Amino acid sequence: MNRVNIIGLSLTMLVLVVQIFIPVFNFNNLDIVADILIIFLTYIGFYYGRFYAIILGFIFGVTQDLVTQIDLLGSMAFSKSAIGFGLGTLALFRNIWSPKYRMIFIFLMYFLHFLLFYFFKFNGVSISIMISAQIIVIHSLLSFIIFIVIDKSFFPNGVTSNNN
Amino acid sequence: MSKSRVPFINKDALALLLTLIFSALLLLTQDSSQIRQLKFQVAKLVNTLAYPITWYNSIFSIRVENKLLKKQLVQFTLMNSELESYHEENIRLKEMLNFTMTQPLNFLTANVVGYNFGLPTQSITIDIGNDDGVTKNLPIMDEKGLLGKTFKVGEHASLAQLITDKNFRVSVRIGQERAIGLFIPTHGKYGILEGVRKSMPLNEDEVAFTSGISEIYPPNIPVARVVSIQLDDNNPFQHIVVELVGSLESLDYVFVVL
Repeated sequence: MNRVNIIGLSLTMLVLVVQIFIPVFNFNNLDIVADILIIFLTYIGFYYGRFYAIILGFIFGVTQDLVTQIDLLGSMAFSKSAIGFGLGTLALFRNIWSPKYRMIFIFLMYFLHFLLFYFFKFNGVSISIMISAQIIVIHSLLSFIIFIVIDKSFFPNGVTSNNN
Repeated sequence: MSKSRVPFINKDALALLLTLIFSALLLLTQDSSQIRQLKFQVAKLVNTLAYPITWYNSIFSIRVENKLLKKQLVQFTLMNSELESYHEENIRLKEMLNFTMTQPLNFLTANVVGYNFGLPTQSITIDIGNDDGVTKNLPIMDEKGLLGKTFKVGEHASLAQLITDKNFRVSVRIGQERAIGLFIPTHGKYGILEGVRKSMPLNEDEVAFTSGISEIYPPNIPVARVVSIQLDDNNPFQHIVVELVGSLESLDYVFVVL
């Protein structure tokens, strides 16, 4: 196993652990939690392409389902696999899309991810559409802001940079 | 983009497809309320999408079903008519049974197996003959009245001359005074009584019975009912039109009087 693989595996494990212990806050009696895994998946998609993003998205999703919501096992795996495919598109257009366009695309992918997930989660549950929409948007925004912060802070030539 | 060794298989799309299928399988194996609702929605969607195919197939199944139902309808109609026939037969047999139990005469019951209403002799064929004790010139009747007499007897079947045959004659008694007359058939179920004198008081609907004078017919078998009476100054006898009492319309069974 070469050095890159060891670092990649370690980073994956670290992200998983961080996701498990990340703090939760309450909004309208519903738990809001930042999704670090989707941010990690954004980088995988951007640097390694669709295939790895899909596989890793599925593994992350299943792990997340097993840890947090066994009664909806498969829902996060489904949405993260689909989003892995979408985020992997970033690698195809790395030199074509502008940073602004990439950010819009990433936000849309995050939004789609939470839309899919909460479609499964709120299906058949009596909850208003407005609250559902707010939760989806808050989750998407929170993850997106964290992504921007991380990208701007730790990756000078990252996804939002012009130097790609 | 990563390329597969097989050019027409996109590795990314295949990975996506497999992971989505596996995720969906995992999801659908759960039994939470959300998943139950999801299954319901999916089933509803599939049902809606498959409606044209279902509708198209249903036309064929309806055609087959229609054909089958038509066949069954014919069968049931036949069965129904058969049952109605049995019902009628049952009523008739009950009447006959009741009749034979109240009569002092000895009877043989026979099935009518053939009709001949044409020339030269109006007759019926019955399914009993010598072997059953039938001989020539035995009266036949139904539960209502006289129908004729046997005139040809075989081992297992006999021919009987009907009362409507133009050559048939039977001596009768009628009225309070038991006047003697002769029944002669005219057409159909009608006939005339000859030889009843004018002085004999007679009313319509009176019934003529066999007289007992004949060696063939025992006395008091109903023969005919008076329909009309005419008196002619030039004729010493009454002109009496009568209608047969026995029923020739549904000849299925008859009695042979021994």
